[in-house]
Amino acid sequence: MKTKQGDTPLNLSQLRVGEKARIMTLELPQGIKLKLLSYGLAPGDSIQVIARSPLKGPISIQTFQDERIALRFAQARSISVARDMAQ
Amino acid sequence: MNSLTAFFIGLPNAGKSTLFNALTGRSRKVSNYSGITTDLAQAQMQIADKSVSIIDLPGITSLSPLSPDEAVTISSLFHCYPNIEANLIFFVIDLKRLTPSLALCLEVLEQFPDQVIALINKDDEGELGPQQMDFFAEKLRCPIVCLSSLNQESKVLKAALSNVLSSENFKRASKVLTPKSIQIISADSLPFLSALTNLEGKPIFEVEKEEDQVFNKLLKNTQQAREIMVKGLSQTRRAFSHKIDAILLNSWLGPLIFFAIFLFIFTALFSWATPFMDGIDNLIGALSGALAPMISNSMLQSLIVDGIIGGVGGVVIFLPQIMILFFLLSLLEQSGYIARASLITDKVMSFFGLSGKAFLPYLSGFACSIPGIMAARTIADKKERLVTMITLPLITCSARLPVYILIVGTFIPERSVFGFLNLQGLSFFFLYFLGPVSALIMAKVFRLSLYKGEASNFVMDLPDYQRPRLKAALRHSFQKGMGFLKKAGTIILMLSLVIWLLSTFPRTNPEFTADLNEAQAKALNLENSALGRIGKTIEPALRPIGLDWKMGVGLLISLGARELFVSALGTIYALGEVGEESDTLKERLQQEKNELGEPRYSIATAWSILLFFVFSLQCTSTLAILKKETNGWRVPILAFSYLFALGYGASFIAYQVLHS
Repeated sequence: MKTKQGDTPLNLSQLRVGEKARIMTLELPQGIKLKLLSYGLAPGDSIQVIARSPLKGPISIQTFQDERIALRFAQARSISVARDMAQ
Repeated sequence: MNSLTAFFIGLPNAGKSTLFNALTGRSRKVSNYSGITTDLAQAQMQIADKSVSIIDLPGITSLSPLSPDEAVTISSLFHCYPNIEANLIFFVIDLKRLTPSLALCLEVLEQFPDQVIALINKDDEGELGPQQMDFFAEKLRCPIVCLSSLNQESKVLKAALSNVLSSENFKRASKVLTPKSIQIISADSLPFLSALTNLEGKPIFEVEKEEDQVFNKLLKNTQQAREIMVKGLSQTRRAFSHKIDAILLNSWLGPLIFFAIFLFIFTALFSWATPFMDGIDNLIGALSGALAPMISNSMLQSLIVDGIIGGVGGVVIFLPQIMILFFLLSLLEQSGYIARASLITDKVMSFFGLSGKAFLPYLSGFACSIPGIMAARTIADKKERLVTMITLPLITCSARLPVYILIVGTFIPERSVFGFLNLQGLSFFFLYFLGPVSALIMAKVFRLSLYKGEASNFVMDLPDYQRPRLKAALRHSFQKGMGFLKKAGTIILMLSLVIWLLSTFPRTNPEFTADLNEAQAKALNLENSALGRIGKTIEPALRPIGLDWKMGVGLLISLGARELFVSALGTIYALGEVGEESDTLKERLQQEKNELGEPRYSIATAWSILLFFVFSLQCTSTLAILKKETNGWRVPILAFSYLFALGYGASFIAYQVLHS
């Protein structure tokens, strides 16, 4: 897959199922950031998208420590990510 | 001191309630989903020579509450409630979610350093060796025990606790829990706390002064937890759970399976229950048939056969359905599927201004609104939570089933439509789904008017799948069944007696009935009774929806609890009836004639009654829980009024349209 690095900032909602990426910043309300962190999602973590729901429904991801978390499309859009170079 | 009180603290779904049940022999509801416990429970137990009182609390994700259920735990922990205090924390660590558990444990230890004993739960395969335990104990600097609340007997669990509560560790419980410092919370926590001080007025919470202070603290704890985790334990394997998710969370297969599962549950609910219900029905018929000739006093006979058996029997018949519903829901909840179902429904829910978090409250509402309204505590957004609660009474709860079954079975002809569908079944299906559909529509209406607000968010953890335990599901179903029978044997029995009394007394002067035949005499007696007079008074209000005073009295009584409609009709029609040619309420209703000798009730009256029950909030317990959960009368009054208006309106339209 061809990806342009460093061009437009990439966000979590743009990743396809199976893609891996690193979490950069979370532009989310304090409460949601805290929830995500307590479920095991911190800035700098690598994650993988495991499922997407149709019609811009929630996106499910898996953290590098195997935690599984679902979040809304709109929230995924507020999380900027960088594709894992290893891929 | 030989007694102590301990809190169970931990992440949601860490197994606190399972552990609590195993230790104390209680039966709090447990399942594989975050947020099942939304209030606290206390139980006493004996560990070695010590009397230990355990308080089970809802799970939390940090010490800064982000929903009402978390606020219950944090307020208890910081001594904000009268009569609730402890001197020890049993921190339950979820081995399957070790890093988040350890991060939270570190946060709790910081505030209560000498008063925590960590219980590592869910070591179901015995993964942890003594070396790892020592490592964890050293890193956390607190005593630690390893348990499997799922696999170990309560004796084994108690022995483990008894070991750790050795004299040295017992000293940890020598004084009441006192936090070391003021707890810094996020500004997002403020709506959930009633005060920033404790009971004595001492300040205990403070909103963060710099941005991300709370976040960075949790981040630091998380990083520390990850270091402990990496050295302490190799990665847990969850390949199996992941394989299931690949299918159940698939964009297209997922929703299909979701529908298949719920279609199966609702079909099973009716097809499995039918033989049992027929059995109970026959039993009740035989009982009154056998008892009636044995009682010579006609008044006493009427009391027992018409009042008690007619009233209570009509309700008891729904026992099988209630038990099957709770059994299947328990299996589903234990499996871990509910979190996935919330995810799948989130998109639809968001369209109506709610989130996937409302799925479990709504689902619980199919059994009973009360647990559903309690489950709404996990919803963080206040307006969204209110809308969930205020629309929940529309979900087709099990108390409506008796009424639907009676009215559909009596008045809807047993005809097939399109060659393969049964008209009765179709009507039933329509009624069943009209409830949740109108709940969603009303949610949208409220979200656009009274409870306008921003689109909320939805963040959810997806627990590992777990094989549901048949035993737990059976126990849950049995308990719910017993609770139902208890209700039938106490409240409904009592009210049936009251209904019998009110519809028998005052007696009409025998002189007036002397010239009449038996049927006319009975009818006159009933009309002149207290209940008959009430019915006659409200009759003008009932005419537009096509009901006579007997049905009207039934509706009036059902405002207390929906099942009472069936028991009230059972008593009223048994009293007005002559001989034993029709021994079921169904036949009595079909044979009821008006003044012109035509059948009193038609398809129009049937739908009028049915639609009233779809919408109307006829349940005093629901009103009480709404008042409790919202701290005031505003919401219950609003709920009752809008639902009554909807019910009456729908009945009016149905009757006027079908009647002509």
